[in-house]
Amino acid sequence: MTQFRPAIPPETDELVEVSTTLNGHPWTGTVRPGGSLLDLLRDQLGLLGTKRGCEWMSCGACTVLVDGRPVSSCGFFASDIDGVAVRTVEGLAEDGGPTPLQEAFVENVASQCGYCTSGQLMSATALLESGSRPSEQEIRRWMQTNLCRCAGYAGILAAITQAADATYREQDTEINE
Amino acid sequence: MRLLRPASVEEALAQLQRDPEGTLVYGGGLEIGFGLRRGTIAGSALLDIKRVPDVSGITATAEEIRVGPATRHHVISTDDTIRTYLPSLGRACGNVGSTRIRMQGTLGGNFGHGHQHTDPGTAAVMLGGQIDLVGPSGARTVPAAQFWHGPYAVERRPDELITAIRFSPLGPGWSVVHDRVEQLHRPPNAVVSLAARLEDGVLRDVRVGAGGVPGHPTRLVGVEDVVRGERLARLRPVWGDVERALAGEVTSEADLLGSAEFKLTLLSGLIRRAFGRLAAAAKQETEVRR
Repeated sequence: MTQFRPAIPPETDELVEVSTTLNGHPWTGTVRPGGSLLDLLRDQLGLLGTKRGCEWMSCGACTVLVDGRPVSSCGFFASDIDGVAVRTVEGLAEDGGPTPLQEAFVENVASQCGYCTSGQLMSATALLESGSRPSEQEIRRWMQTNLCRCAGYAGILAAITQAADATYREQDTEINE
Repeated sequence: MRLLRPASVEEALAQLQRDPEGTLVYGGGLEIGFGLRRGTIAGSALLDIKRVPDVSGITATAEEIRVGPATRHHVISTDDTIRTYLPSLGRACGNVGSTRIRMQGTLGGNFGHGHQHTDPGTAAVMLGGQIDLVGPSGARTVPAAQFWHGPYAVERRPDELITAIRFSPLGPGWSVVHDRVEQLHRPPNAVVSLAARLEDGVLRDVRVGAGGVPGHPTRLVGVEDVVRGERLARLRPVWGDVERALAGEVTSEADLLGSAEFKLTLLSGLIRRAFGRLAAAAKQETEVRR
């Protein structure tokens, strides 16, 4: 069993410099060892789109993409963004406009209070960008632990399905041309 | 707290020796980050092993498959080599946590943390995996069956690093089932990893690993001895012997997931279900061949 030791006060931490690409833009800064990516995004960078939920890596509200992989930013060390690309919900919009997935969320009323929505969008974006059209079962499994307390799951599933159809119909059309 | 990012095993060991108990080695950082936030873990330094060569990735020879300790569960569960030659491990890693956990968590981290409810650990024990460690006194290899001592207690010493986890594929003729009982957002109540070689419906060889209920992932040698040589479709007459063997080699303790008796009954049922799935798959295969 891990022995309890007195915590070292944060003011004695040796700050670490990290360089990353954040929503397509280079960013360099200092972070505290052991500090979370969620704290960096919200408290240091003012990117409030990523939500603080359970802070237990369970609810998915804080989901961001690291090199295209969905991770719980509450459980991801900020120092680990060095040399990788981070994408938050603020970085989804293409040329200022909503993505097909974001549009589908609106059309399918996939958002009620909205608190889980950014996490849902990020997880779903990773799935849609994985290279192949997901089945309903695959969508359900992938999204399983992005929780919605408003129980908006039907709308969320419909939105992701609609976006998948749009994404891969476009690809199918390009292949056929 | 300091962050250490060694570029070699030698550098990592040198850094680790300065404060073995207080240096928190990590790949994905899930359990350590979680512990730091809850205040159940504290340390003087975080040691990020991801820059050390060969800590990530899967390599294979004719005899052996090697998995780097910093290889993520998602990578393992979707790797073609693992799916073909070590499907139990692939399925086990595919069961860990959630999509996000699998995208960040590593096999070495899962093992090093010593969680008794470990799917990959249960599969590793069943498969007879080998865990390579290196420390100031040199390199050593520990069989998976001896790596876990109990909940959160493992064979790795504080001044050692896990450098590889190695498996010998079971070979042709083996069928596998990896199964669990779980509640969402809780560790699995019980995990079973089963492999069997059938000849004309008879269990010529069998391996059973159990996790979650025992204090650590355990190979159920006594259960294997009972069912070996029996017809897969007719295990009911010997199931009493199976349960007696199970009670003899698994020590279950009451906790929030249930009483000791409940957990043992659950494990017995899960093992039975695993054999049932094996039988169903074997029957289906026979019908396909016809």
